[in-house]
Amino acid sequence: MLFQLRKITSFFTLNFWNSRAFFFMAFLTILISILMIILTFFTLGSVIQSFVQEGGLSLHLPIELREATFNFIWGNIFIYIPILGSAFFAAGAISYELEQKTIYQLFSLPVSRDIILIGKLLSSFIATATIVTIYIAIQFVAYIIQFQSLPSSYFIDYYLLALLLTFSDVSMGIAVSTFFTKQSNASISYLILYIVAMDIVSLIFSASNVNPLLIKANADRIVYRVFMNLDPYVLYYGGSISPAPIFQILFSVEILVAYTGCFLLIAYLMFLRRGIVK
Amino acid sequence: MSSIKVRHLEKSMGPDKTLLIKELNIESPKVLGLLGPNGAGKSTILKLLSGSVELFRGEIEINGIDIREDRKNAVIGTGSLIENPRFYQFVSGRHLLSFIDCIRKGTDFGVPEEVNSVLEQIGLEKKGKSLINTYSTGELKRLSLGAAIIGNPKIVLLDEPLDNLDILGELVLDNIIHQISNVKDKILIMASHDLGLLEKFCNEVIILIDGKIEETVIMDYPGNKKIITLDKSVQPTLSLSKEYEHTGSEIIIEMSKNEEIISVIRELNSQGYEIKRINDYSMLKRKYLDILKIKGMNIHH
Repeated sequence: MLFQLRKITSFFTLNFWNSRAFFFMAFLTILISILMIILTFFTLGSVIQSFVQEGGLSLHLPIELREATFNFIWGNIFIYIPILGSAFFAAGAISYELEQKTIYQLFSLPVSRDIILIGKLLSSFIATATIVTIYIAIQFVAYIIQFQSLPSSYFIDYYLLALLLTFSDVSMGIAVSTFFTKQSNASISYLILYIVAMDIVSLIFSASNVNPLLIKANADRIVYRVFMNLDPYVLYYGGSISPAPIFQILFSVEILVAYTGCFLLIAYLMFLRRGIVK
Repeated sequence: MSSIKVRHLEKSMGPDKTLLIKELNIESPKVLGLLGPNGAGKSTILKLLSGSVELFRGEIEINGIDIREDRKNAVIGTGSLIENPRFYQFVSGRHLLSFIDCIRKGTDFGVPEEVNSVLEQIGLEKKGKSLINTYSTGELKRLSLGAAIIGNPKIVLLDEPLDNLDILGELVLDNIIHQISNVKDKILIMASHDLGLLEKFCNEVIILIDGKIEETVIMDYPGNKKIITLDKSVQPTLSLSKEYEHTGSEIIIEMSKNEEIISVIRELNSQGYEIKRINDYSMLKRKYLDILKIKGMNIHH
């Protein structure tokens, strides 16, 4: 079973890595990283200035706060990388099979559907995580150049949370993918669901005094809140230029894990159904 | 020996359409054809036998294993080409075949040698290393055939194998079918609209109409019948030295071995008939058209 899972995962990962979508995503990520380098190398001072003035703080910032701001800004943009990666890779993982009619070839192989689904999930995750890692690696190098030192241990938390977020986004992408027979429809629906639908639900939650962190899109932002507990989108929990407290990080992690579990369950049920109705 | 047993099979094919097969037993060696109009259920049968579609009523046993109870072991010796897949664009043909072979065998052992042999068989030795998105339609079809036969499956299911094949591809297909039909423990099932292909290779052809088996035609007809189309309707007064059947302006006549058709042509000419064309008589075509006519599906022309 492990042999088959390894083969399926490596086969589909290779298919992703060789794809134009992967090169396009890698190119976009590098382009975004270059823009971030320009932003943080040449305009960090004024960015921080406008940033802290809103909080009514002094401009004489300690170096730790400058470093946290640097990572916070990079993290803020980072959020979009796994969303786009999942829209390209995960949202097309199953719908592509149906669109190109390769699903009959895949399903006729002597391997269980569960293994196929897990292999698809892992390969989409590896492809998206590769893009994510490119961005974070550039951020890491940019940090070292800017501050002439290694980033603090928060950077490890940031990377691990980024991977969890990526896995969660990929799970959502796979779940959406199982509903569609066209890759483009699945990708667009995934983006609409993520960017539009979740924001509307978030507003409804805020207006109804329900914790908006229960929405995945808000819980995702824990990634940059490990540097500063600020969120330009959700001020429900109040802001602080200190890192988010551990209980808030754990709460967001729980939310992300719960969403991931639900998405995987939906994907599993739909994937099995795909195999039996057509 | 390989075997397929189907009992009381029922599978919905859309609104008001259901595939219904009371009983079907197939034992090796066998080359079986599936013939029928579009939507008759040919591809659905192949999808069910390949294990890629699981929701159905009834029983399907492959080599004695119930496909519903143990799909993985039931289909382990089955290779299929269904619905002309476009495949994964960003891996090479070699990589695709290796992947399928590894999954079928459950090991890497001997895979490169087998992939080389199949690539050679389908005429893609050189192209094998290129990404699939560079393949032409015909090359893609040959690759699909390779994917169906790699791992030496005992049961091979081919859906419209002639579609998109050029002359090279047809030769590849001929070789593959010959190889399968020469092995005693193999079963080949082909769904095709091409009567010539079915007549050339099949031991039996199942004619399907609206999801039901209308007739199973045994393809053991050894004769040499010809259809002669004349310039006008055949008159009752026509007298030939050989026995014949006629419908409209067509004469069906059986030639014995080594007998030349020219003597019949001379007789017809002497009685005022011009020959428009001469074709081999297709028993399968005749039966198929008769069935379509009975079902009210014939086209007048």
